[in-house]
Amino acid sequence: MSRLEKKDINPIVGTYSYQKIIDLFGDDGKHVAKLMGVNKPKLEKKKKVKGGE
Amino acid sequence: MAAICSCKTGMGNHGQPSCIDTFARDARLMFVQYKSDAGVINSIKSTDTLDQTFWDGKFNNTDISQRFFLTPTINSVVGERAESVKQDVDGISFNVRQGVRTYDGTFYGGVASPEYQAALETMSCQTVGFFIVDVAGNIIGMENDITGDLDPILIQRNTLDVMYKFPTASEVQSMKILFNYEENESDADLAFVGKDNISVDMLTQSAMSTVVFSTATAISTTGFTTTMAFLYGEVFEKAAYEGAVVGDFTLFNETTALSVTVLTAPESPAGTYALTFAAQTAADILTLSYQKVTGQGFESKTDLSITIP
Repeated sequence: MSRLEKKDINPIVGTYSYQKIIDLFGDDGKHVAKLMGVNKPKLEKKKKVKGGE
Repeated sequence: MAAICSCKTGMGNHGQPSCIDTFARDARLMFVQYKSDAGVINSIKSTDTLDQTFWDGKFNNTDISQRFFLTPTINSVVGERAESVKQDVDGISFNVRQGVRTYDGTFYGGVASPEYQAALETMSCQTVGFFIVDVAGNIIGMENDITGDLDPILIQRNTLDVMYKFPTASEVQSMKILFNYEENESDADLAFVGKDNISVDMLTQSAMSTVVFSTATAISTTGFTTTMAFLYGEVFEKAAYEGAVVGDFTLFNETTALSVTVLTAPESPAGTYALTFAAQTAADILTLSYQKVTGQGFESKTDLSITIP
């Protein structure tokens, strides 16, 4: 099967979370998320706490 | 209906403006159920803005009792009103009632197909009215003296007749449509909305089309494939419906009574769609329908049933 294009995807998918898209679309998940403009959430880095106890 | 003769108001004046707008010969017809299921006449109101949005709403109305059904071009319209019914008494011919007006027009060429005859004949048992779109793009109907609206012309029920004629060596195929105006519809009430008050070209508008699904194949818990085609064309090779929009599919799980979102519907080859959705449980029964109501309308009249393996 040829690769999905944006017109093939239900616009409602654009409202889904990145993880939901990955779960629903499996191998195509990253491609679909990119087409629909859904970004992978950035992990917050732990801030180093200076000093303290 | 217009008062033919009123003892209260007396005779009408005969003076007319120096220039009078008139309508022209018929080009297309717009059939509509005379009253919606809510009991309201499907009129064109003086307050309506007759733009593309208005007509898209009429031609693609999801409530079929309010939908306008626009025909292709109709020709050879020769409808006439019969002479009034009279009663001769002592050699005096008394008017009893107006004669019946018949509508007699013909579709020619490819549009006059047996498949289209089937569509026209679905109106035969309904209480239907119609507007005429003339060759100038005016819309002709019946002026409602009470509301001031332009009502559809009411068709006498059970008078609709459609006759298909095979092509010959010298003639294209054609289809004649005949019906009577309802007996109380008076020609004095015929009125029209001028093309100057309609911001679209009525002669190029498109009517809603029916599409049908083929049996689902390649069924899995997360998808299946089906083809979509029009009712028209060769019996084993109907014209494919291309360009279906993924968001216009509606999928419903009859077993759980929950709607299922169609996630993707890529088309390959033309008219063949591979639908995907979130995983469903084995043995669940799904039903698929399709309805596109923006721009030119398309809808499936029969749902496709799919059993999850």
